[in-house]
Amino acid sequence: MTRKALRLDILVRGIEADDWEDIAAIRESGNVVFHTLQLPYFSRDKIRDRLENPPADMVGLVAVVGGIVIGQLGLHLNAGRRAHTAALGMMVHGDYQLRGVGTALMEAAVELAERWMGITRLELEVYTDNTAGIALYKKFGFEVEGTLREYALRDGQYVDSYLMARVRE
Amino acid sequence: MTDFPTLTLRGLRADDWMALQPLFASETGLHDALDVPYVSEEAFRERLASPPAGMHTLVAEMMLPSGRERVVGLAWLRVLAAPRRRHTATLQIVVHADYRAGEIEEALLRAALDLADNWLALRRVEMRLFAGDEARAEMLARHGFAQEAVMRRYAVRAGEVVDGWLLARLRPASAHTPAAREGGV
Repeated sequence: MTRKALRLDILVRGIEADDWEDIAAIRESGNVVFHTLQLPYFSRDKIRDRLENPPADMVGLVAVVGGIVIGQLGLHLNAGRRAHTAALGMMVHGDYQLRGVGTALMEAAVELAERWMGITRLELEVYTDNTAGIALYKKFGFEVEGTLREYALRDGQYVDSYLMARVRE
Repeated sequence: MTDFPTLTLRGLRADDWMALQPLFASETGLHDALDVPYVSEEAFRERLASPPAGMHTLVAEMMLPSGRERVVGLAWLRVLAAPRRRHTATLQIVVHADYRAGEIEEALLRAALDLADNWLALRRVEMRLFAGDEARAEMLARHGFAQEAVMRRYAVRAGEVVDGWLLARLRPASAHTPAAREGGV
């Protein structure tokens, strides 16, 4: 819907069902599985199915460079007494990390969440050793609220995550 | 399973919604849980009857002096669906404010942790409380929970946006021994 040119070459737009092959390529790239909750050996069919039938409480953004989707960000909108909050997850293709893609996605997500949906608490979980991710989130005003011990299994080990949130009064 | 003689802990029965719906809609329920008022009976019944995958429901039933049985609390232990988080469950407990609520809550907690440790072999159990709930946090600390995070502007409660506490308990090293199970936690 809203298209926004950020920097020279990164376009952020809403996610489309047709993006599924690029999304699958992101998941296969670099350390994306390592830094997310995704599994290796995933099914491409499942990715396509999820993009074709998106859950009603999800809002998705993608970052596009040269016509290829190289980053994805999802906002999960909470309901009821937590309707002012949303959980955020993102991933950037391994070949395009540390080049402003995450920043472009975060700028759009924060604007969308706060200026158009009235979200006053954005939250996310990030592995405590993901220094690049943590630095990006801190740049956008996210603060560490605590350490979740043995949060997830990663390549044979249970590893900790930070709970981070950006809160607006 | 509990040293509280008049209390029975059991799985969910189809007609439990009749007692649980007023509990969740009561002042205590709204104060402690994340439900909203004016939930339809049908929606609540459906929620109990069709729980999400991985949900284990424990019901506390008490024998009143009159001899009548009364449902006085519920625990929901939900094993997370995300494949890399299947060692984790979230736990929610709601108990009736009357009739020795603290003891009922602790009995439900003990049973839920027995399920988590000895039957589901979980490593991590999470609970979310509203900030300032010192009494409950102390009770949870006695059972191995530690506070991990303060969640700012966590949820709305009676007109205010309030903070939350995230507490978690990692599986104790002794959890797999029969002695630990017999002796409670």
